[in-house]
Amino acid sequence: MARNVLQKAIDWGRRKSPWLVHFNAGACNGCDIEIVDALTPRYDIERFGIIQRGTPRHGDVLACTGAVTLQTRDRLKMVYEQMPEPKFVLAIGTCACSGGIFADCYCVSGGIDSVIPVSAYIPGCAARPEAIIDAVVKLLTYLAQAQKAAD
Amino acid sequence: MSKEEQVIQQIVAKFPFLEGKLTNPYDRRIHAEPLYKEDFEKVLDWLATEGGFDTFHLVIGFDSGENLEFVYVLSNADKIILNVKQYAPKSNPVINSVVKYYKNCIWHERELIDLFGATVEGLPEGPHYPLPDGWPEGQYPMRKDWKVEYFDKNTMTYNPPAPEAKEETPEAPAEN
Repeated sequence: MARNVLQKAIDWGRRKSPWLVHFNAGACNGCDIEIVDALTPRYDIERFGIIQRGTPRHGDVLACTGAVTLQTRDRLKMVYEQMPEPKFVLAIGTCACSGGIFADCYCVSGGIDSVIPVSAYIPGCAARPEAIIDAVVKLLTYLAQAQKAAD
Repeated sequence: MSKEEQVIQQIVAKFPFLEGKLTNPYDRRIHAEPLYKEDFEKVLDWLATEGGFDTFHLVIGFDSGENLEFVYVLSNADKIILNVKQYAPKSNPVINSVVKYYKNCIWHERELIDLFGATVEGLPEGPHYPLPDGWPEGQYPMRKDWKVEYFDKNTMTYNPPAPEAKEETPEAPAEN
C-alpha cells in the first residue's frame, strides 16, 4: 500500500535534515574532537542540514564515542530510549565499535553494540571527519533506498 | 654542585636514615626508596612545610606482593620532581591523608580507597571515586590477586573458583 503524502514529506524531511545527538560513553575525547571538526566550518556537515542537538528528544541520530563503561551503561540506554522512533546509532571510533584496547577492562562492558543496536560502525583511532561524513552519507543513502522500496 | 644534589644533601642532613636512599637518575628528578608510615610522615611533613616541595602532582599506587606502595610525586620551585614512596601492609593498609599539606590530593586518595582498598584517615567525607555505582564491597581491581576473569560485569559480582574445586575438563571422546 502506497504511503500518503504527509508520510512521504516527513521521510523527506528526515532524510534531508537528520539531527544529531552526541553521547560520550567513555571516550578519551579524541573522537569527540573529530565530531566537532566534522560539524564546524572546515568540514561543515551542517550545510547538509545536520545539526547537533543538546537533547535526545529532538534527535534522529545518536552519535556515540568510546567504549561503554559500567557507569555509563544505564545512562546510554536511557538516552537511547528517550529518542523518538525511527532512530539510528553511529558508533564512532574503534572503542565504540568493539571496545578497542579497553574491551576486557574490569569497568568496561564493550562496544556500543553491547548495550544498544548500532546502525553504522566507523572505525579509526580517532575516526577521521571524512569517515564520519562518509558514514552519514551511507546511512542517508540507505534510508533513501529503504523509503523508495517502501513506496 | 647541581640543584638536585643540594636538595638531596638538605634532606639527608635533616633525616640521616635517608643516607644513600635518594637517587638522582636524571635531570630534575629525585627518587626515594620506600619508607614505612612513621618515617614517611616525618619526611613528608618536613618536605611540605620547610623543604619547599609545595606542589603535589599525583599519587601512584601499586601492589608489590606483601605491601602496597604509594608514590607521592611532589615538586618545588626549581621544578625538581621528587618521588617519595610509602609502604602500607596489604593486610591492613591504613595511611594518613596528606590533605593538610596539599588540598588537591583528595581525588587521588579517593582512587586509592576504591582501587587498592587503602584506608585513608583524615580525608573529608565525599562520594566514592572512580568505580561505577553498584560496585561490590571489598573488591579492589588494581590488586594483583584480583582477576578480571572472575568478575561478572552484568551482575557486578566477583565469583572466584573455590580453591579445592579444580574441575578437570572432561576429555572429548575419541572419534573413530
